[in-house]
Amino acid sequence: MMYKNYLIKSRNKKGVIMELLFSVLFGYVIQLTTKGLKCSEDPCPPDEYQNLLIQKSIQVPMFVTFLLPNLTFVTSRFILQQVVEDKQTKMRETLRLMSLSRLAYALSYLIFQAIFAFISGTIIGYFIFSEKDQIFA
Amino acid sequence: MAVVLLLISVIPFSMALSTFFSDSKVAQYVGSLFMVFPTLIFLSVITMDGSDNTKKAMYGISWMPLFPAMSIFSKLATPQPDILPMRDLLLLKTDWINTEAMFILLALNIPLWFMIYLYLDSVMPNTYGVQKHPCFCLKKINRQRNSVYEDSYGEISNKIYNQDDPILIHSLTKKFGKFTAVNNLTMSIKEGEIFTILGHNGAGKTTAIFMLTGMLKTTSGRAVLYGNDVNSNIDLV
Repeated sequence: MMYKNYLIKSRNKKGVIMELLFSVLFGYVIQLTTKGLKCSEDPCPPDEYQNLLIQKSIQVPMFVTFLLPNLTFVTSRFILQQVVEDKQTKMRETLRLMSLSRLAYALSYLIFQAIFAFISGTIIGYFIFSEKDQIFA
Repeated sequence: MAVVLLLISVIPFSMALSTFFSDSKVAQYVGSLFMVFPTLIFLSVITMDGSDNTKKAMYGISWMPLFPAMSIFSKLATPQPDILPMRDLLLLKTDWINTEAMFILLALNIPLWFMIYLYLDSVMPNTYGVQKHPCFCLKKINRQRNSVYEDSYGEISNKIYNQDDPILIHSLTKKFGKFTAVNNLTMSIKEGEIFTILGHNGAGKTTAIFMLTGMLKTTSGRAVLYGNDVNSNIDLV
């Protein structure tokens, strides 16, 4: 099953590239959002500090709120498409006739897509943590 | 780490979501709406007016493990020590989601949705496959062989149907709407026997085999393969 998933992914290179590209884009947007949120001098002037706090408190959560669904959709798209397609094409029942259990079938998708999720998450993490002064760290 | 956990928890969530669909394109479109849904709840809660209790109740319902993304939203809505409390800006009075709780929620989402998927996959009706009863966990597996046939097979010739045979098919019927594909098929197959089903196109040969292998659910009648009913013990079959 893992090999089957691998073959599907390798045939859809465009989708895989988009998946990884979106992670880069998402991470980059977060980095850009948090980049300007620094004090110009140390110690921070009170007025500037207040402005930065307001910016941080609204700007970042709002960006994440709008971007997270897109990011999660990129991950879920493969599962939604492939699992339903397996049902449509009788592939799943055929595999079950060959004694494949429901658990093994489900686990194969979970493990395989988790690898991609890990890569995407690491890319986003890299962008987030490469900025020292930002609120997610 | 949170993003990795979120993306992983989205996988079993999507799998559970996929059990409701039988068309992959529809699944993608509706699935995307489901991914936006937590954001809509989150935005509606943080911008709504009303008493704190109403907000808390609304918020509590929304972030509960229904949607993995809600864990992160809840964390963002919680005031942090060095940041101006978002609750003061957005009129949100919740401070019970900290970083640890967010991680726990995300981690819990993975096994929770995975189990929900396995359950839904077993019980949700599909075009193909035999589904289990919604309370199948509580039911005892009945492996008693042939007990359902004792009262009704008497009139059928022993050549066609013998109760001692390992494969027993009795009054097997499959209807697609008003069309009857297989009508009261009754027969038994002996062990080691080479059995052939002959018939013209549309006679119902494939449908009968599909029912015996669990690809299709029977409309009525029973089939028992080595003591296991295809309707209740398809996994053992």
